[in-house]
Amino acid sequence: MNRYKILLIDDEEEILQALSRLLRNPAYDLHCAHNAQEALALADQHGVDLVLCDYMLDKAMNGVELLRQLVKERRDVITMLMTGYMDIKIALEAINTLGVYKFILKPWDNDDLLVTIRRALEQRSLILENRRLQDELKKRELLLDRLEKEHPGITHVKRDKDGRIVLE
Amino acid sequence: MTKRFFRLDPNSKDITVVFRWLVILVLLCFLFFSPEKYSPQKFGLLMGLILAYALSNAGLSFLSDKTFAKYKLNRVVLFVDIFLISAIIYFIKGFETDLYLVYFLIIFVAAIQGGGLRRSWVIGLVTAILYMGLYLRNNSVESLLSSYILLRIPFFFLVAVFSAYHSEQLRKETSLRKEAEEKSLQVLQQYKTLVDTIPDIIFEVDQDGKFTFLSEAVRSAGYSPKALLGKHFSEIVHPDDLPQVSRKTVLELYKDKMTGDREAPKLFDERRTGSRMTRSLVLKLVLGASAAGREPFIYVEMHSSGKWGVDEATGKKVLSGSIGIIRDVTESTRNKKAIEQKNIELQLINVNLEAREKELEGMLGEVKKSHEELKKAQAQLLQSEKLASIGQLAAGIAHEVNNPLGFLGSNIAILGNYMETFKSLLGQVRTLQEAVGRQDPGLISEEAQKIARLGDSLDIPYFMEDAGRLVQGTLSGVDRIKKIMTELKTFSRKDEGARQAADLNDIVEGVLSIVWNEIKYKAELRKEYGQVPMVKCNPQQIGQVVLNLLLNAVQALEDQGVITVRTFARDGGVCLEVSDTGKGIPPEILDKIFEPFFTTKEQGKGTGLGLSISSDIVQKHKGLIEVASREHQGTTFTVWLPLEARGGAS
Repeated sequence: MNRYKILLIDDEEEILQALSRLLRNPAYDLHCAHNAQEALALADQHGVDLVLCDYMLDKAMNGVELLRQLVKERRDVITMLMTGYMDIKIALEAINTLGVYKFILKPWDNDDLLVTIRRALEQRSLILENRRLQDELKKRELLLDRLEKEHPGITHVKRDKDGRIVLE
Repeated sequence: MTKRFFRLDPNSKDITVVFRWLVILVLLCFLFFSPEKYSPQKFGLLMGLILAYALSNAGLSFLSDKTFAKYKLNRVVLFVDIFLISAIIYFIKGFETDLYLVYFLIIFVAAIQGGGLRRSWVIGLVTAILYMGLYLRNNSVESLLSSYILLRIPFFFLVAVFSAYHSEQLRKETSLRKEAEEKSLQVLQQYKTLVDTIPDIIFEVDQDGKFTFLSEAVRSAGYSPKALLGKHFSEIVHPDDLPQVSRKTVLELYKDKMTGDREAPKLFDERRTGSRMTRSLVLKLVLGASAAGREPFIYVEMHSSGKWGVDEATGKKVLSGSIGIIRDVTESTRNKKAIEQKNIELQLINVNLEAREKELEGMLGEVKKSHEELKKAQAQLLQSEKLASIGQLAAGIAHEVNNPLGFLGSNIAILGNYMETFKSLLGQVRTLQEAVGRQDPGLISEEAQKIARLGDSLDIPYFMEDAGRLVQGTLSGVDRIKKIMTELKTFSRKDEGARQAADLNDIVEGVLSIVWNEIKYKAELRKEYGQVPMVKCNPQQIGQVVLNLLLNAVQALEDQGVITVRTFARDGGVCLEVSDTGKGIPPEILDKIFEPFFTTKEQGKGTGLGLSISSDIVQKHKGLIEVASREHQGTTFTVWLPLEARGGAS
């Protein structure tokens, strides 16, 4: 079974513990990071589907910057920014320049957070599925093209009223 | 006195000459009334004698008195006269005639000449001897008894004595009178000198008010005493004052009115005397022509009294006029008037001052009121600034509170889930217990298997382990929130102004717990707490100072840096040093940073009051706040507080 890889980033151990407790699910593969450095390392090591990142992180890097770095190499990763203090500037920056999926305020509601994460992951899987199918389609089309080249007309099949193939 | 008494009368020569002319006249009369008695020869001789006599007298009349007195010619003349007359009587045989009377003239002259009784006596004796002797030459002694000659002798002496006596009497009287005259002249002279020496004008008016006397002092008012004599006093009294000081007009006003002596009018031509006379009447005098160019009038003070005489005919007292004294008081009056004027001005000023005082009192009330308001406003400002500082911290504090809140809420919800699990497990256990009670081995084994399956599915060991961790974390979160809330409450509540003994390190720690979130992402905090004694202060206010300094330090950091907080004891007080390694303060604004509303932060980011209020607070605690800064190297604020800040309200 393919588990969703979730990366939790917060400078507070207690937050990480609480989130881990909440998201304890066989379907999720949880990784916790206390700072940006750890987060980047874990992402490289295990890959990531969803990042839940605190804004106030580190003297060196805040949440937005970290997410920007993570997203740079992983286009489809779902990003969520958490903050204890709603600063409209941060929110705007996060949503407008990063396309953050969700802005989560501390203290969070467990059910909401769970639903949000599930939906996000579902969306991601849908996107991924979509992309896979599109890839599949493209492959099929390529195959058809090749067939057509090798056997011209093979892809243009005529059928009669009853749906039977009519050979010209 | 006796010597003067017998001195020669200065007029004796003249008297002598006059009497001799008289003698000559008498002799000539005798001679011419009975010329038939004498022979021409005798007549010639007599005429010669009389002529000689006349000539000597004429000569004598040209002689000076002094020479006459010097050579005592009077005596010579007297004896010569007696001999001469005796000779004439002898020659004309005039013993029976009245010629002897001429002797009396001589004796009289001798008395008048002042020779005294003795000389008169001698003259009388000589005359008697000569008269008798010459008679006896031609007549017998018997005839002497029968004639009147002897009878005449005592008369010579009698005349001598009487005339001498009267002459002396006269002389005495004359001398006495002369002496009295001299004396009165002297007194008069003294009086005149005195009156003219007195600088005050002394005057006398008659009953009509016309001057009868004026002392020389009137010249000081520009008049000559002589010119004013006979003139009415209205000549010199100022027209304004005249009606009030003139008897004629004043008495008209007081007619039919009874006045006591005190209210009695004061008059120039006063008729009352003694204690009721006019005293200290102040009036104005018009100045005379010779005082032209000066002020038109002078102020004078005068005293005037009535002057009374006795009418000889009726023996009644009659008013003869008034006498008085006038003194120039212009200067003192002017001074007095000036003083009065000044007094009025002063009173006016006083009234103004009183009004001003009232105004000031009102203002004082208002100032007090506005002072109260200012105090209130200042307290509010202090509070606002504090809240503004907290506002700056809002993000950090929210983060600091919301972080634990986040995991608290989450944990508790999960703990609820755990509880549900445990409950269902416990329910199973209860069913198992019931099965055991029924002693149904089949059921027991079935239930036990159920529990085992449930336990396997629930990962019980994880729950067991995690529940403890969860509770512990939750409690720590609660503590954190409690702590920060306590600090926040302590710090932001309204200042109660109470001073209490406080530990500076505790204050700094409390503030750090609030600002920690600001610091921890930007700076490395170094705490160098020293051993500091308790300091009596307002901990909230000092906390506000510490907060301001820490916030400034954080904001001064351009990127990353170090903030050092040091506490130590120094100079009978405690010291707090907050240093940063930030951008520093440019020297040109270093002296402005404690000014209110001075800020380098962009609008809306700072009140510009932080350091100003901090400085105020420190000053109220009688402490010191100092700053040392180097651009691009950092800034150090030092606060020193005395252990006990005496005086100064909070």
